[in-house]
Amino acid sequence: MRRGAACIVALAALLPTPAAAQCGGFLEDPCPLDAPRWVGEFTTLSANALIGGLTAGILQELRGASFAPAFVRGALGGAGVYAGKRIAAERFSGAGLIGRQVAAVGSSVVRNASDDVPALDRLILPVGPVRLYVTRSTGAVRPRIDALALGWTIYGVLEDEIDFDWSESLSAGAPVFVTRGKVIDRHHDGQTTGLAESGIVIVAGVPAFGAAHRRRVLAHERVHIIQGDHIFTTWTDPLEDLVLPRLPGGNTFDRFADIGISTSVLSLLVPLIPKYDDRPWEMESTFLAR
Amino acid sequence: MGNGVHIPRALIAVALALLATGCIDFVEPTELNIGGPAVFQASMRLDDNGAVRVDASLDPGIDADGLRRNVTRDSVVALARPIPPDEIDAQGARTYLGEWVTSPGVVAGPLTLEAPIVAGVDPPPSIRWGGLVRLDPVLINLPGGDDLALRTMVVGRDQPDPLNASWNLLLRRGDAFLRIGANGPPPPVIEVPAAWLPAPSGVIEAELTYVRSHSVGQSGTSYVGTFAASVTLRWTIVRILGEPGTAPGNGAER
Repeated sequence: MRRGAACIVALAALLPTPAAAQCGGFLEDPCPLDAPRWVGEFTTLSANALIGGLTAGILQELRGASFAPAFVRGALGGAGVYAGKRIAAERFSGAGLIGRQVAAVGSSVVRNASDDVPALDRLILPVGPVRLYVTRSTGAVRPRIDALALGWTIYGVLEDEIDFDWSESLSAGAPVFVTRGKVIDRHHDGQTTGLAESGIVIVAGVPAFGAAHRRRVLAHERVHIIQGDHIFTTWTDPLEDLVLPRLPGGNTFDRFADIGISTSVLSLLVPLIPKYDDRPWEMESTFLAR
Repeated sequence: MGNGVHIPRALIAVALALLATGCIDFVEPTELNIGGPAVFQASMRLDDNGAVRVDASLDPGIDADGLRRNVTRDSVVALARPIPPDEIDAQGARTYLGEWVTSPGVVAGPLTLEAPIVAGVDPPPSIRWGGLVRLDPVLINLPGGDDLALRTMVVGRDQPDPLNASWNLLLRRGDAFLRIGANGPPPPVIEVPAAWLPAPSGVIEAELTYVRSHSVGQSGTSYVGTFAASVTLRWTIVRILGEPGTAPGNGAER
């Protein structure tokens, strides 16, 4: 473990400086890259592989198993997550749907490495506010509702200020809602033209911002959706599995639904990183969607 | 589903999600000026070497429906010469830069500048201003004790009348200089007392700049233009030591 950790620190030190950050206001184009594009891609790939590897390696270490094999498998899964994000940030129709599923397979590989089961034995595939838990060895497919995602979807349907966008939702593989000529003001923390929250996306339907801006915002938010999926599959779902059985009725709930607190994990980190440009998940989304 | 245990928990989760939505507002975008005017700004500089430089910018703005306005003629027309946009940003704002050299007589005017055409707003604002010419030769031999007299003439009329006009004259020899000026167009003769000239002898460079500016389109119009134009004339003055009035005459070079 100690040698592995030293290697990880060395690898992190070799990572190039993050290549992109958002420039100025939310309407502005991203800053010009201060390094070749491949440097940013390599940074993003490396970060995703590192997170996947560390997640699996540490969990296996905590369970008394070997760190290194789990780290390697987790890193491969993390690379798959990067591939999914890369696809989701592309502009073709269905990019989000395909990218989300590719990334979900990558996240499942990390989760399986964490649990020391074969790499593709269990797959957790998000379909809107529902997740399909596929166990390939038994052929079982079990759907579970993401309670928070469902709550946000219901909110989106009921909210008069936004409309459900069928085509963008199909393309994104997640519910997409569009405002009617307004921008989103969240926590009175400034205006934004896009928001991803618990598996749904809200974008500003302001024609004046232009089609290119909207495509970029959608791509940005699709990457956030995958980040949430990954946090759920590898971090918060194991936590729910651990906590829910200890609560009254928790087993029954767990059979049909997940709480889906993944987005809340990032929300908890916001006070620690108050500056938007410094948040790693925003840097990644901005870079990939540029 | 029927044992009634997971349903309350699901409802709680949904309630939490709905409570969280109270933190989201949908507001009119403050960075947009929906229905505001198209805004054009331009400055044009000419000199008697025939050098012309035009800097301009256009924000076509957003119509009442929230759509960016189309620019149906993208060029600025300066001195009958179209200048295409140098850059168009993601929001449709344009910047222009035109630089060229033409006949020295360009300073005689007329100085014409017309904004691009933007769909759905008033006709493009424009100016047609008179020029300024030098009536002296470019080289003036000036006896040491003589006052300096520089003669110019404003040619043509200004349409529309500029809101602001001013002139300034810079006389310079090395680090020594004299600057004088006033509002309005330059007088036909600018007289500078001999004692004010920056050097008792030798070559003095003189530069007269006539600047005008105007805003076309007041409140209530849908296309606002702000224009500035300057014309610069130059002389070379050779101060010759000797008695006043004994100069052999001004040079013939113009």
